[in-house]
Amino acid sequence: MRWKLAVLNTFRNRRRTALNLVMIGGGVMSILLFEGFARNVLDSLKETTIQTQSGHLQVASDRYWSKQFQSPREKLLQGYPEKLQEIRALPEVSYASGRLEFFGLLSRGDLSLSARGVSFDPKVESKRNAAFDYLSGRALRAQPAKGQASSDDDWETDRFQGSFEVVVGKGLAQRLQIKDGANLTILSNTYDGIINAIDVEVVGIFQTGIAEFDDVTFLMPLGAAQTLLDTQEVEQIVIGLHDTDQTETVHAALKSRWAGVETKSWIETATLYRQIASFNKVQNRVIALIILILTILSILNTVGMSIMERTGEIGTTRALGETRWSVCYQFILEGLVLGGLGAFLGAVLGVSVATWINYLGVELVMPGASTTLKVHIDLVPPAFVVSLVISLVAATGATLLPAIRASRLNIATALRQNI
Amino acid sequence: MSQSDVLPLYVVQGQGLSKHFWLGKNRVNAVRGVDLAIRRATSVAFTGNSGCGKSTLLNLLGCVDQPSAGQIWINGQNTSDLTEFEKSKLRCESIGFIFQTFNLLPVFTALENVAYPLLLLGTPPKERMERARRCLNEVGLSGHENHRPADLSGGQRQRVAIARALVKEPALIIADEPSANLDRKNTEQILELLLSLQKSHHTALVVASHDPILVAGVDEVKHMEDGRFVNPSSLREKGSSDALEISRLKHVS
Repeated sequence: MRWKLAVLNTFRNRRRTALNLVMIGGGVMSILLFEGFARNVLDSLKETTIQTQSGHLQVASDRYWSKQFQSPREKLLQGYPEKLQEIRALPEVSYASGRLEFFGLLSRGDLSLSARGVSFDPKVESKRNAAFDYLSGRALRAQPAKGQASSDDDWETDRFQGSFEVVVGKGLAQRLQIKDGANLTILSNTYDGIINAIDVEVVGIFQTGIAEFDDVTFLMPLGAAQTLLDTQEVEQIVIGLHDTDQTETVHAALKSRWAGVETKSWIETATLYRQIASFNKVQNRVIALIILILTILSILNTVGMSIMERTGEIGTTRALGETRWSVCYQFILEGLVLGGLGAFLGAVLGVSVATWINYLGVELVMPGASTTLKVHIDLVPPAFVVSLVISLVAATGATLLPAIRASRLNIATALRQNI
Repeated sequence: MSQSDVLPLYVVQGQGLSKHFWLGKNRVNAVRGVDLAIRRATSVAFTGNSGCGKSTLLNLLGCVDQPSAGQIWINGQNTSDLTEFEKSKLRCESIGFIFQTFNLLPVFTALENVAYPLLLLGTPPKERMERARRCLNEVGLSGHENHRPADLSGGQRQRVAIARALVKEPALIIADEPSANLDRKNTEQILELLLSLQKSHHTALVVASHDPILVAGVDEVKHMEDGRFVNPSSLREKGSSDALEISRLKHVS
């Protein structure tokens, strides 16, 4: 009967209730859209980070991770082929491949620039290779180290005779003033400290969307890097899984498998992602708080007006035996009805607008990014819960203060309002 | 004779009741040192001109207002000792109200309005509705259970209000000018109904009114002027025993 009374009272002044529902619904819709957009951006960044940078897991020597080594050679992972075989035998593993990263000097005529070389096996890490957005030219092809036999059918022996191949980040290519087809010389120190150089052909220009990466990075096949650095080993084995959710399971399986070797998950190495995710979490809370306050302020006046108009009625119910608390409780129920309906309306609006935006396929350029981002709103279940809580808190919060004030009125004074 | 031996006879007792208000800088003495005692299952009418203090005195007796001085006993319980919560409980259990402007909850049906006091008492829903339906039948409104107040005439609304006051079988019903908003025909019907139900339900009725029908029908009439009862000679026979009881209470307190 109390719930019925709450529902009936909520709809006594339909225009006012409609206004309040629009205010609450607007707040809920804002939260759903904002959280959905932020989650999509974060998820895109996560997948981009995994696909193009870290893989799901990385295996390397303790010294590589701690950066405490006497000579550069100590950075290398001992027993690379055996470990690679063991890892590939795990059912969750989609691919595993060695990687080398180094700094080198890229020269084109008189122009030389320091850049970061990232090498991997383009055939094994085919997803990673394809994940880059190639603005011109093509992706890398597998190349064995010089002098090694290749079983790769795609291998073009005639091109290997002349030069190895690289693809260059958009920003780096602009600074070097090169296009695909250009020839460069890469100069670097081997793991024994000897300076070595190889000639390479730029076969493509790529972008990842992360300007900091695109401005300083070039990619080359693992074999080419091993030739340049004069080694058959790798610094780390990068593991890609069938499903990101399996990361922790495989991480636990590999954690103490080999002495002197440490396995890290993508989240441990993805500093930028962690920072953005952490910022995003705080930002979402602040936005939710602002929306809560705005919603309370926007409905406070109309809710207060509704309660004060019922002063005489409050006097009557108090005379009939309602306690101060039960009067407040009745108004809290009305707040919950208003908040619940507002949340439902907001959810319907949120889902509709999100579907519409996703259908439109709006694109925008994020600050610091070199590519456009397709605006996509994910429907995030926790956001529905948060927005429901916010609308309930806002509606009951706006109700509570005038309700307490009304319940404390002298009953005889309140009764005189019944005219 | 101890107080507990006497109390069951009186549903309301008041001693030295005063109530004053401030209108700006002017003090208005609405009730001035009133003593009274009302027996169980009797009916008492407060008469007097507008502004003489009838409604204020009813508010004090109904525990909806606080006296500036004096004490009130309801069912032998001194209300000045009660907290706000306890007063709500007392009103809920022992006092029914009938207002001049009916004061029905507009969103509820007639049946729900009558059942409302039982909700506050925690009566189970099925019993609540059965008792409310029975009371509506008693006031001649069977068939109007699902009508909202806006769909009822003034007389019908007051009948619903009477049913609402009676449904919890209170020891005391307080009615403030129950016929003021009714036409002559409805006034006669409502007041006759009220007095007959008061008798059949064995409840005490204190009513502020100067309607001749009511004045003729009640057990006792107390005339008020300027916040006091006047012309004690007009009190009926029971009045003398009440005066004795008031003297006894003065002695006890």
